[in-house]
Amino acid sequence: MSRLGGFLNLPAMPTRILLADDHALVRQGLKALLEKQGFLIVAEASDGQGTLRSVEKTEPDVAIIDINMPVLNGVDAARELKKSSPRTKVVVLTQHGEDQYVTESLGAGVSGYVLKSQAADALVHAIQEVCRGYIS
Amino acid sequence: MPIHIVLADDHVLVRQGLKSLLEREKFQVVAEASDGQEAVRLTEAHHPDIAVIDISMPTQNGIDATRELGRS
Repeated sequence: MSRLGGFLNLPAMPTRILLADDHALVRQGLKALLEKQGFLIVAEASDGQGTLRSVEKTEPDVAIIDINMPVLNGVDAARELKKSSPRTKVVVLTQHGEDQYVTESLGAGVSGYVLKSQAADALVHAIQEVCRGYIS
Repeated sequence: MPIHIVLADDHVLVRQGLKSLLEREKFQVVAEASDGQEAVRLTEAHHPDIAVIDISMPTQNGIDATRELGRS
């Protein structure tokens, strides 16, 4: 991650991100937005199973996962992902602000929780915080 | 002249993502709305070439907003 590069006085490596959302247009929009901020999107997935396969293959620093996805939902995917690829941090990006979803996500090992009704700054902040090892 | 667009969606992050995507393709997003009434107000104020409107929005949904724009 970029912090190590700075410490060793090496060029900063971009944070590598996987985007999982079943709406292609939402994914493409987020990709354009995050690339503008200097992040590197290494993979995209449209369902929970695809997310697990892509994370195993690409080992991203952060997986940004929607909750409502077909085949395997985002919370269950996060739970599996934390077992198979514990190094990858998970940020949930959802329209659900209810406590029940937040609690279930945290129980599944999610490090960040961002609502789609929040501004892009909140997502960028959450990515940075989870990379530093914090819960956001 | 770039094509002028008004974007209406109640999810800010979705709007900002679409804006980044459209601006990369050289469209110009002249205003953003988070509900139907705001979409109508901003479209009437900015006269964009295109209004991109989500259906599920609070206050006034996208279909009713479009109907109102058609009248005005």
